[in-house]
Amino acid sequence: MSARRLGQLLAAAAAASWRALRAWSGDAAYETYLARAREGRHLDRERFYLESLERRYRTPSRCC
Amino acid sequence: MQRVLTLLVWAAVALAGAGALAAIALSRGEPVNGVFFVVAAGGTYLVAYRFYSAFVAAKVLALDRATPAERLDDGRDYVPTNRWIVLGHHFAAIAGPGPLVGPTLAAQFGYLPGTLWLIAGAVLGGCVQDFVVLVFSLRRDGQSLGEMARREVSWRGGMIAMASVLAIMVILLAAVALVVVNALKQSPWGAFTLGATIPAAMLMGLYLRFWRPGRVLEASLGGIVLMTLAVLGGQWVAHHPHWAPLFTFTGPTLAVAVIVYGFSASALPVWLLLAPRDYLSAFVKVAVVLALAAGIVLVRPTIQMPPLTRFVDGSGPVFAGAIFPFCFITIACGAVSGFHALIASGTTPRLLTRESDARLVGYGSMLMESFVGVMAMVAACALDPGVYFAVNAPAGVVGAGGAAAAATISSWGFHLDPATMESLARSVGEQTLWNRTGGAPSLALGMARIFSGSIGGERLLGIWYHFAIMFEALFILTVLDAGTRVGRFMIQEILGHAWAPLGRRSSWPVTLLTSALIVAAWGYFLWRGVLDPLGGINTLWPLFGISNQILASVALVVATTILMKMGRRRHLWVTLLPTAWLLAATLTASWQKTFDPDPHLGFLAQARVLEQKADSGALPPDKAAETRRIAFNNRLDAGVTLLFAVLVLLLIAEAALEWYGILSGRKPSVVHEAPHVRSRWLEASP
Repeated sequence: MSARRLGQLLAAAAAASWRALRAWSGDAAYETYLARAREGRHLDRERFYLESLERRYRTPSRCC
Repeated sequence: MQRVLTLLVWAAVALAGAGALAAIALSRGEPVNGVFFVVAAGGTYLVAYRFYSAFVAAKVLALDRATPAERLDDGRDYVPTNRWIVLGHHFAAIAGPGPLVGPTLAAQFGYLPGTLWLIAGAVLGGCVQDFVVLVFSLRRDGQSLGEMARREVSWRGGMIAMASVLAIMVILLAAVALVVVNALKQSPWGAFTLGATIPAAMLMGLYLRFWRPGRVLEASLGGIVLMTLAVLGGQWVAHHPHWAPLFTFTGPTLAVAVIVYGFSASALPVWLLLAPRDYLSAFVKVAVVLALAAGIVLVRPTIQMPPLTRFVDGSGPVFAGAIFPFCFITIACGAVSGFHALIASGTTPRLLTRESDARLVGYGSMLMESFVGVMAMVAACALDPGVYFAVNAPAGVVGAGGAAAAATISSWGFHLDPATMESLARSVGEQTLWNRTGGAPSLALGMARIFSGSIGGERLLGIWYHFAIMFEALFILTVLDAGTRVGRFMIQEILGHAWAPLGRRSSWPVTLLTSALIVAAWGYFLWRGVLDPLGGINTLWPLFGISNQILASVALVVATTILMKMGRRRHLWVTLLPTAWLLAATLTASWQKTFDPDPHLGFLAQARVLEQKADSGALPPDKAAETRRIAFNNRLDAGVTLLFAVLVLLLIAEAALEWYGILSGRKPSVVHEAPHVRSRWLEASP
């Protein structure tokens, strides 16, 4: 395997890990929401963030 | 050829797991390495996941339908998400202090019983419960356990499930709060570090709310830097002649602080304290679990605890009660946790893209939690047993440290030199390590030994110890925040039935009132735990274990009812076997904790002894009044224990009526599911 190919593979793995980290942490939640929301009928980032927190913490979200 | 190769690989995995299990089970006196525990657990989990969970998925549940996230995708409530991401979410949600503290306490029986139950209990009980509840909630658009009980068992069954959840929440929050209080008592380093995480979390909250809404990674990175500074700053504070006394707190002072904190976290807006702390806690939790696994493999600690100790007969100093049922009750979440059923019927079912993903998320994440429990067992058992008992035994049993306590522990066959404890306390920057009950300090010691064996050696032992304490306390406080808030909503819901305005979540007076009610409920148990001369954990942890395992029985009874209605009568044993075991353990434990004539074990017997003492006239009036209060608390504990047992028996009676109706053909077998829509993912596959 050439050094260039190895570099490409490593870069792809790093990008995939970054995407996974953003998805897991909730950092990418607003982008995911925007991709699904209808044109002109979406919440702004702040409203979306506050709503998602209210949803998450209204039921048991952390265990013993 | 491929098939033969696969067969050979799985045979090798099974043999490695069985061989390691045999090595730890049959060892009598030879040193056992911690890596054997990792191989035994890992081998068993892989085989169970590959074969048993596949059997449950294919034959019992027949996973093939469109999930709510596929049908109702709105990008907000229902979001189809990659299964590995959901696994991460779900694991971060279910993994709490239980699988760390429970195995640490159960190590008083020796390493073997707890380890075997962690592995077998998870594979056959805990994972099955999480998996089936997740699938049944998926098929009901993410309904909660209480709602499923109401619709599938009976209206009364639903009410019983809801009452069980609220009662369990109160005991759970008190038990974990007591663990934090005991860990921070007389520890300026720990108290400063944990205290500093509160303004750090609030700063993160403000950043996420006003400066960069929803930018979780940026804020968490800042939070982690602040937390590291807090651990290092704690060392400076602990050695400072002026600041150290200011951060040295007694148990009652810390209990008041935790109660005030719980009230604030419940009443304040969720974005200010609860959510940012939760982000921090999730990152630290996952990182520490991975680091601990790597540390065990790198350091390969030798297990010092024998496989079985003399305390299997019930005379243990950490908590009273014989190996059956108390080993199973104490381990709790690491093997089976009823609380997981609440998470599996909460947010997770709204995120799964395919039904088949429930196997990885439900069964797989519980396997990971069980592995955390096994690692905690390794960390606790790698300590010198004399040190383990010196840290975990309350002053009321061994004395308040020094030569007398060392002599008592040595008389049990675990030689201990008092100088060892003094030198260990100095090397981790603590004033004392005697009688630090609750499990957290001894677990932190074990973790610090493993971490310092990988990085920094003895020089960094103190830093690692306080890092571990901060890690445990951080996510215990997250459970406390989130649990108090949910408890508040549940009280509002109940009060709202009596008078509608009390159900309004936006009302500030109602928020303050219901926050005060839930905090007062768990705060009462915490307060009396702190004042208990036996350390409190001896009472509260078994109560928590009983309540948690009873909730698991409730979840499994509901699941069995649904399976029966689905016509899976041949496979009912999948949920009935763990239900029967859990009921045997929890009902025996409830009976013994309430009625056993030994005052060390039975609440009522202890109450009687205390009342006789108070009435004898031998005590001064203030001592007699205090003794009567403790006797009252014992009677209250007996009442709470019986309440849990009655709740589960009532639910079983409700379910048995339903089962009889279905099996005798008197009742139609109707499941209340969302419409069956075939998943497009199945149509896309060949």
